Amino acid sequence: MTHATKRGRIVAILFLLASFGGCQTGTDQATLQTLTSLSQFQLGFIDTYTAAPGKQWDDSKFQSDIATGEAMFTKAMAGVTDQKRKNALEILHRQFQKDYTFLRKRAKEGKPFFSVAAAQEKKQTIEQNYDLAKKGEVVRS
Amino acid sequence: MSQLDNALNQIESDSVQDAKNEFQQLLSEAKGSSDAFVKDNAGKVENWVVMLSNNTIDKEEFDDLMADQKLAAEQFVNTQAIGAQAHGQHLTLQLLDLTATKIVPALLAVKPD
Repeated sequence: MTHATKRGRIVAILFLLASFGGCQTGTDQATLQTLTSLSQFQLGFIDTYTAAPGKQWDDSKFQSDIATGEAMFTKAMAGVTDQKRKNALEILHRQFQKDYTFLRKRAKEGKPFFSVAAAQEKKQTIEQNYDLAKKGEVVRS
Repeated sequence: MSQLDNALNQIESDSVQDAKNEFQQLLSEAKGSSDAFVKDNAGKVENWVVMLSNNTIDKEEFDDLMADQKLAAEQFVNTQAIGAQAHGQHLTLQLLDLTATKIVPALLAVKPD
């Protein structure tokens, strides 16, 4: 093997190692980014459906927002095989489903929207839930 | 006297005295926990009981917040190593369950509308 060939192989091996390292970091960062996006969406959803003076219930927007959230969770959970990651996303998905089910029920009863007081408390718990999910990612990496 | 004491003092029925005592013991233990999640859970439960008792939130909202917290507790367990799960999980769920099944029904039974 010539000196140039040896050097070429070493470069190839280093590239592969760097690529694997990059994949690992990329995977973790991608999951953390997904959690951040879901968190922003879910907290924004609570804000959108919190009572405010003059705010009117818009059922078509509500259905559209549910569809957007469901699509985000479907995409986030696609191909996830790590059991703890899957559990974390399923818990967050159930939180979202619970929130829109609650709102739907209240809207039918003529009491649409979260009250300001309940929404403030709810947002803290949702943020905590996402922080725990992110912590789980960091612990695993 | 704390706002929680004021709320709990509305419950005079002898049949729930044991539950009240257990609730306050669990709350005290959880607030003294070295685990931030367990401690935070106790603070939230206390706050929500007070909010319910003074009509800041209604019963459905209270139940919804408690259900949120149960999901957060599931997430908490999901992040823990198996050996570390047991006590924090037990204390958290015990406090949530006792609050929902004994304390709040007794409080609502005596609370003026």
